Amino acid sequence: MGTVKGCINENCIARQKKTCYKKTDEFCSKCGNKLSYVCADCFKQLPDDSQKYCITCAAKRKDTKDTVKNAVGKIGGGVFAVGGIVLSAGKVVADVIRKK
Amino acid sequence: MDKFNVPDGSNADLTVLDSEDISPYDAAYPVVLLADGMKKRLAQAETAAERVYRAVVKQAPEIAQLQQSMRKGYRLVVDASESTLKAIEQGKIKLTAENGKTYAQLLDAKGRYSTKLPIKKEVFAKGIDPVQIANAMQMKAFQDQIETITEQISVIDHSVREVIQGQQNDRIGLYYSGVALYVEAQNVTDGDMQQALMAQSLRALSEATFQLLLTMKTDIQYLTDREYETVRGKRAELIGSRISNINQSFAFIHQATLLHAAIYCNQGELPAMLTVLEEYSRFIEGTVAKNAPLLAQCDVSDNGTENGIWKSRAKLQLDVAEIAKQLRNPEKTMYLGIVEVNE
Repeated sequence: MGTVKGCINENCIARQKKTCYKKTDEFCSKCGNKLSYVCADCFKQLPDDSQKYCITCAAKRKDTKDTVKNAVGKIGGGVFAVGGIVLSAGKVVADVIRKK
Repeated sequence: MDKFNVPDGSNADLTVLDSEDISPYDAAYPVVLLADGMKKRLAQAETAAERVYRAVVKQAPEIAQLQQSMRKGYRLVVDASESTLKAIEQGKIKLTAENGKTYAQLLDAKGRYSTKLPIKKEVFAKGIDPVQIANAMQMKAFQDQIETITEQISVIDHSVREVIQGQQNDRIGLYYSGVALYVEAQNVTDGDMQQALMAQSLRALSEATFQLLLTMKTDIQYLTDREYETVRGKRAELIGSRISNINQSFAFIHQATLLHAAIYCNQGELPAMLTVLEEYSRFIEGTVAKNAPLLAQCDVSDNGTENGIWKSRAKLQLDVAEIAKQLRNPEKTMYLGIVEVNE
């Protein structure tokens, strides 16, 4: 899992800019503060490297995925419906042409 | 302020405020009242210390001036030989109160205390209860710890007062009921009625605390069990609403506990006050500290660091166990240094 390390010093520019460090980095290159595992989205300090996002951000991501899935489902349904209509209309047109 | 209006939370400096300066419905009232009560108890301890100094050191005939002995107060006479009393000058006296009787113990060269010597209490005008003095002296001895407790409480009190603004539900109503009854009790002239109102106030505060505690535990359990996962597309919203409830419950548990402790403190019931603070400390340890990492992650206003909202709340470990043990102990002990008086 791509966990993220960051500086948790509130006054450090690396934190303000949400600079991500490598897992092997131990100290902040800007202020020298010890780095911690942080949420990849909101930069909140995390207790360990077992998760990439904090609980709230992980929930938000899942919610976004669900919203996208729902939207895709709706669009997909719409496309199928339109496809069906086009197909049946095409058949009618083909029948008419054949009769002529 | 209209007493039924929910307070807006005061940001005033607690060290300057007096409980009479602010409305009882102000969010800062409990902590100010507690700080006020503690200040009064410490002032009383200061007076008691002075009285003990005068009564024991200056009025003991062997080591002080005899002309002092007929002043108002009382004289403590140790039933011991003169040679033993002379030894007092080299070391310390340990005064012990047990079952209403006072004893003296002397420190020997090996640093051990001798057997208990009974002390006669000779009252001239107005007696001093040795147990009360011992309590006051202990209060004085624990002054630093008591001040630390007040400071620790003040640290998290500010964040709590921000949460309280505009919050209402039936359990919070119980807290305000407790406040209202306490205010009424203070203005009642009949002693019995005052006691009854005070008891009702304490009961309302206790009920508010425990109801909110259960609500808070249920909300934490909801987050621990990740029950929000079952509702697709609304997980973040559900987490946010639970965290808001938890913050609200915590804020009013804090307020109700402080007011509870403050009432006991102002009534001179120090062991009861310490019991309340001990309970609060246990609640912090068992409910808040244990779940602080989870709560910090769920609370968007927390940055997850040691200075974050939940981790700083979790740090509130009130060191009251030792003071409570001493105050509840039936054997009261005070240590006095010997001072040469050359008047």
